[in-house]
Amino acid sequence: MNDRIKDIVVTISFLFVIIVILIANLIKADTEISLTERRRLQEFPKFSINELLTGNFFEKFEKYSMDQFVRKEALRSLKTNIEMKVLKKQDSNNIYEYDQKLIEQIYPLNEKSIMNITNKMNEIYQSYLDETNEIYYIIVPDKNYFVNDNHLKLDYTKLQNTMINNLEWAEYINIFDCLDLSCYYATDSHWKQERLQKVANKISANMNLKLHEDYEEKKIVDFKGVHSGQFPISTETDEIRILTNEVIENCTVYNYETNTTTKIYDLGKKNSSDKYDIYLSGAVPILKIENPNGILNKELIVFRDSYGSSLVPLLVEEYQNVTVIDTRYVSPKILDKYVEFENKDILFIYSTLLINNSISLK
Amino acid sequence: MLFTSISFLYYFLPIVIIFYFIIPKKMRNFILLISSMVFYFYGEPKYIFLMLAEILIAYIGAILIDKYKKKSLLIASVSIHIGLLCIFKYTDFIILNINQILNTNLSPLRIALPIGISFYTFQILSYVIDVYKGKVKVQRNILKLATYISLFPQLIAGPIVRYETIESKLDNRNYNFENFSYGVRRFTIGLGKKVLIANMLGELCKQFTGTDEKSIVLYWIFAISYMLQIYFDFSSYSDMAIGLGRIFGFHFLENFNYPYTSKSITEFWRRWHISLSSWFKDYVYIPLGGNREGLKKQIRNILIVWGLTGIWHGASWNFVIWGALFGIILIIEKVFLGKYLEKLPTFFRRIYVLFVVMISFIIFNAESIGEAWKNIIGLFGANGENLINTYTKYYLRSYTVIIIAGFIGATPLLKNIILKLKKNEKANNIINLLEPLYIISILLVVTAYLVDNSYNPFLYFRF
Repeated sequence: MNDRIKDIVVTISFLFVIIVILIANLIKADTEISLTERRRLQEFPKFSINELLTGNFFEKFEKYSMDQFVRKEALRSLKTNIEMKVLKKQDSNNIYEYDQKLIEQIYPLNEKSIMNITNKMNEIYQSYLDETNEIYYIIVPDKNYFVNDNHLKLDYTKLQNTMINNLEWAEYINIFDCLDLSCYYATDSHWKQERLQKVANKISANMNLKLHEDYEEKKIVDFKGVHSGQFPISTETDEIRILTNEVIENCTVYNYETNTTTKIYDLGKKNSSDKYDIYLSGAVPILKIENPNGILNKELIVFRDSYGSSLVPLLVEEYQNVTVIDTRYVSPKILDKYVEFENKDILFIYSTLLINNSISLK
Repeated sequence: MLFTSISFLYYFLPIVIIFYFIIPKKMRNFILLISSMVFYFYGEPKYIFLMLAEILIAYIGAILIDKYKKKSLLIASVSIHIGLLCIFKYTDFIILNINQILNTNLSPLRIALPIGISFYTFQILSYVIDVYKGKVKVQRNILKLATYISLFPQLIAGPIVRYETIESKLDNRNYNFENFSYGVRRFTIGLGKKVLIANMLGELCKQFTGTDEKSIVLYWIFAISYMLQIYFDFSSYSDMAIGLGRIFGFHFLENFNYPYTSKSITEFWRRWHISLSSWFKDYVYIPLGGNREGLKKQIRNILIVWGLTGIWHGASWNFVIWGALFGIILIIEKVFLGKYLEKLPTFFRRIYVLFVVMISFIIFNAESIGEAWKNIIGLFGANGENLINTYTKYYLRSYTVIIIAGFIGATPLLKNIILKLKKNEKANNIINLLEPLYIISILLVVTAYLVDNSYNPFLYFRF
């Protein structure tokens, strides 16, 4: 190709790309929600003189232009491919692939956050709990804990010791040795319910509960977790599977926020953007599980994050009632309006993800 | 508006190009002016009125200067523009220093810095001074003057284009595929340098500043990465500006010429931000007497120029120290070091330049003198950190390719290889065949990074 033809080809190709993309962006219908990123996308900003002069209009348009770009998902994949395969970065968007699992690199240890969560737990203890309660807590390690390569990892011993030293009124049940990487979804940060029986057994042994392991395992739906959107080149998929039996089937779950009753496995969430919400309906401030087969007046109160959603069903067997509280969505100060604490077992279930980033706790 | 934004690349630019080339030639300055106003308004709605006022003042000032040839008019005009620059850029700096010196408690006015004010003020000054000196003809068409001052390719981060450079192009510009294609190539390479190298090195620097797990090696990685980042950040903007200028028929002068291959600091400043250093040379250093009035006055003139160069970069003492450092080193080179440097092998001379520049940019980047000092002594283990740690190893592994790409891109190695190959007809044809492919590839990869909302600051926007 001689220089003149090259100049013509360069000019035409460049103009073609920018003009075709301009037209494509203009005619493309806007998307409301990104399923892979799990967020609402910016809509075309409303115009007003005030918005224009304050710069808000352009700021929103900037977000709009990125959010609504044609073939955005393909471009995001291209970026991740370049970062991981060409530039040989160790992670992309803080996610990396190890042993066919997508893993979020949680780092560094946030000691202020650990102190914050222990302070919040201490406040709950001082406000509501006393010697009539048997109090336990578990820490759910994130997937990064199980990776043995050169990635950055939290100091998990320090994290656990800080919790133990600041929560002397509760018994720590260490479940780290009941888990391995296969207990977690490949594309999500959460653990798989069907792999939690060892964890449930250890907890029940420490809490003097008798659990039967006669569960039926059922596949509910295919699942692509939150990391598949953050690391768009992964081809891994997961399945949401549930462990169920007659006891669990017979339980009902009352949602204080919506004043509705569902089952432990909320199959209505099969089509939601986060299918992990099938377990106890996902993010809910206060739930009460009523178990007609439980022992009379034996009750459990669980303070939990999302990891508790799939674990709690395996712990309900002996309890007549299990109250499940997520203090990211309800202030502990108003709990006495809904919950009585006296003579009840208490279990805190928090993951290292929340412990290391506990700002969302009320 | 950033060049490295979706709004610029896929809305503003194609629309401007379409309108620009479909209308008659005589209307094109008007389209450029309107586009430049929209471009500036997008990023700085309020301060567009300040820029318009300065254009009007410059226009009237230059006509009066041309008519009456009075120095007092020149001084008045220059004072107004420098005064406005000082008000918007240095007021809070002055207040904070008064508070420190006189132990007063004056409240800072928190005036936001209008984007590009340092650049367009210097363009205006060059214009009115050159009109006074008779180097350029006064522009009586305010639309043409406004087009020159506000020309969007170089409006907000340079290069500082002098009126004399584009005076003739305001009236008559040539358009052909060669110019357009050259502009596209420069612009796209600039995009790639900015998004794929500077921004990534910026992320690495952010990892350094955000961690308490520093090591001696990490201090070095940071210092080298920041030095590369600022080069790629700023030179990429100049590449994009020059490229866009060429697309619209203007020929801007080069602003960078592989400064990290310099063999002395004197040479470095002939290769780094050429438009600024030549501006200070022509409008401050030479009018002060330059080197014509003996060594003492030359040293004084160098210190004034470098004090001003430092403070031009920002209202903070670390910029003053940064400028003064270069002033002192330039004096030392001029007085005695230069002749010894010339006897050294090229390798050692380059190491000397890179080391001095690296230290200078640590000062340049720091939020305070204390931080700069800490980051400098950290290079030698004086903060008590280990040689290397897990954190350092992780980020070194993660950014090795980018750092190597940065090293190579900061030298003319690739350019020289391509130029050599192009002398062979067959190789030239192959390179020509590949050029459209790599240009479109860079464009798409950059787009991929932009739609994913990557880290994307422009360091020189704060000046």
